[in-house]
Amino acid sequence: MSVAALSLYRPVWESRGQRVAGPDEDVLTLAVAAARPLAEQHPVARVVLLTSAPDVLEGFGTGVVARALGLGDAAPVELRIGGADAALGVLLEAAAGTLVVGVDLAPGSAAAGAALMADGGGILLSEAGSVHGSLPMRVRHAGAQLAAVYGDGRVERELATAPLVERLRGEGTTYVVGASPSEAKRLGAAPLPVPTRGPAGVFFALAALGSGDAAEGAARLVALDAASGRAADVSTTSVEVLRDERPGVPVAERPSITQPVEIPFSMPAYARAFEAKIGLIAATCECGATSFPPRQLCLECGETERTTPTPLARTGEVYTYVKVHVPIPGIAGPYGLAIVSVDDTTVRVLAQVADVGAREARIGERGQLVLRRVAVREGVPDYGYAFRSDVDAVEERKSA
Amino acid sequence: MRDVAVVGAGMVPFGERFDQGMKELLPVTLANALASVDKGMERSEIQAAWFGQLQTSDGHPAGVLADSCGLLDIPVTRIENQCATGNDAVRNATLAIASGAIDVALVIGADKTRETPSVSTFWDWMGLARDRGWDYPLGLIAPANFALHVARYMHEYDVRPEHLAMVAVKNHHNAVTNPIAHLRMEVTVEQVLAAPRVVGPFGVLDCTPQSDGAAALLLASAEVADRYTDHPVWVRGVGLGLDRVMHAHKADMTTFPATTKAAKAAYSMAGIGPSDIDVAEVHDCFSGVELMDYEDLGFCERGDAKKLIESGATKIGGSLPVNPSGGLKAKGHPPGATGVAQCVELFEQLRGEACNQLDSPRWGLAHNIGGPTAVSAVTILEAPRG
Ligand SMILES: [Zn+2]
Repeated sequence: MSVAALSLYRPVWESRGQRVAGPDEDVLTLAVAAARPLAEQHPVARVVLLTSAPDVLEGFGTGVVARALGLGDAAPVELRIGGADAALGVLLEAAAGTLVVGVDLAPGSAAAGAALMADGGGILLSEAGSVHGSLPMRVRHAGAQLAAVYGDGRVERELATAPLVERLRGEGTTYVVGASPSEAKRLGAAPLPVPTRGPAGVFFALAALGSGDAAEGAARLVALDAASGRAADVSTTSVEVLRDERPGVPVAERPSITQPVEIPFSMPAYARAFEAKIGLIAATCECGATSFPPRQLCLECGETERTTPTPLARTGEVYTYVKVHVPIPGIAGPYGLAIVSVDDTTVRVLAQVADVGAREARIGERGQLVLRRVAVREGVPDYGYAFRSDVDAVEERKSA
Repeated sequence: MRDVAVVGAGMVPFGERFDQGMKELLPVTLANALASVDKGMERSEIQAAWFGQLQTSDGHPAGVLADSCGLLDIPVTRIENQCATGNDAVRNATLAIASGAIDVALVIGADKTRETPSVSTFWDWMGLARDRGWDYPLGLIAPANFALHVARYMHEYDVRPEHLAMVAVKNHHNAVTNPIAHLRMEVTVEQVLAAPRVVGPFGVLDCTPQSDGAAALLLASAEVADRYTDHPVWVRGVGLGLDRVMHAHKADMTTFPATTKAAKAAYSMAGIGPSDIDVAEVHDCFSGVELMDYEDLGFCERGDAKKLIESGATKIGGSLPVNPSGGLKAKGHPPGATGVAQCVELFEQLRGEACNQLDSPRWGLAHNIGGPTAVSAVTILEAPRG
């Protein structure tokens, strides 16, 4: 099996050098952020989404993922639970055309990676052993906020990680994910720029190995989770790596919900809007006019119900923008609202602005429409598109 | 169609009226309107009533009006058309009298925006005017609804925040001497610009307060008007205009097409044009909206509103005073009452009885724009003859 292309995403918010998800980001949106750039360029037969701690267990939006990626019903989306070792396992076992996505949501390690699998070319992966042990150093029960931690890192190293790495080590250079960089170094592994110990870390490791950072030739990648490990021999072939990692912005500037409130929710209204809203699909009339949100009555010719669904570009320019400073219960603020003229059409979209605090929007500015969790209404996550400016506010502030 | 006259007008002070519910506000307002009728009018002479109320408080609006005001034996219709509610109620009553169906009608508007905590007000109001599946969860609150327009308008016509502030300064100044105004204090351009930010170009002092209040008009056909007064004010034009409800579907956000349509209908019915207007009460829920109103109502060319406000023409004493009452900005804005209260102000101005009396105006115009900037109502009144 081989990895034909990789895509990496990290939220913009930073705390002590680590990344933290935004208030409108969750496992699903992080997965789409990493997977979408690959799905735009390659045919995808199947999606396997792996995370160590899903934030939604029942009613996870696999259908939202499929539509946000522009996939039909023929491409199933599967949610799995597992750590870095499981992520490497999925990569080793996935069929060509599978889009494998690893997501970490935990504060301090929020990141997502995606890999498009192929039958050859790119980074070649081959099975190099696995160990299934159990050393419950950290146990978090479903629904519990905090994990029970056995607070003795030396015990973990002596009883779990060191023996594991010893058994899975290769002839040449060995790289470890699933342990901190300092821990990996202590275990005799070569350093890798991996921002998380969870499943997303495997994708960052492969990206590093596939971008010329690694030593020439074959490498051994060992992925750990507690006392289990999986190993693969990896060719350090150069591979396409798409990166969406902007300079971090202090988490203190991240919008937050000051006052929680139940926002009423209508399931029929959600259902009616769903296909167009999540797929970003407009209605094109026989006369050529396009509308979004889709309309029955054409804006141009006045005829009704002569429309066909038309996917919109995910890029555009700000027609108008305002920042909402006043705190609104139930919405993380300050937030921004923009009306965006979508590329290649006359359509405009009303959207929240993503990552307000890190980047503003200005009239005339270009950017992308990215999937975000717009609201949680009566417990139901409500997804939609937010505008994310191409202008990086941090870079802009530096140069100003 | 028959001519329709305003023969009486009354209201209660706008503000936070925690001590009075609908059932208390309405009869007092009606009594004030009846008391203003020069030759007197009995409650029993009212043949039909139109009640403008945006949000229900104290229950079923038409029933509460009929019950609390002793109008159980006449038809009462509740009008709800977002912020255009008041002037739309005037329009409906006018057409009923003009048709010959009735001779005397009550138009009353009231709202109590302070009945629920302000934290829930945002969602309550969005629930009234936003698509549940699309715009509602985005948090398109009322100020953002207008600010998206004003931000683009400022961008295209190089309008500065100072121009917006001039509107607030003018309308606050007018409210100081209006005893029924909610915010009776002067503000300066510097204070408006330095005030805490709300949404986009609007700070706190660019925004209308949340007011409770009520206002009423007594309308009569020309045939019976002289029973009530020798100085009737004439309803010469009424117009209602609509526009797309979703901002994404609006082609040009630097104008409110609902306003231009409502104004065109009202001017055409009155047989006059914008240059004939001597006094206007326009929708200034947010300072910048008044500037856009100048253009949509035809008081100046597109893009010239900033010159109009700079020139001082819309101040009291200028060539076209706008919002001599203080406007929504300072007089206050209980939505159902707002349009009716504008007509109360014009009734007094055109009869020479206003608190901020202008120099004998002949034509007055009242205007509202509301909801998702999708509905506007305009009423044109003419001063008593001779
Ligand atoms: Zn058409």
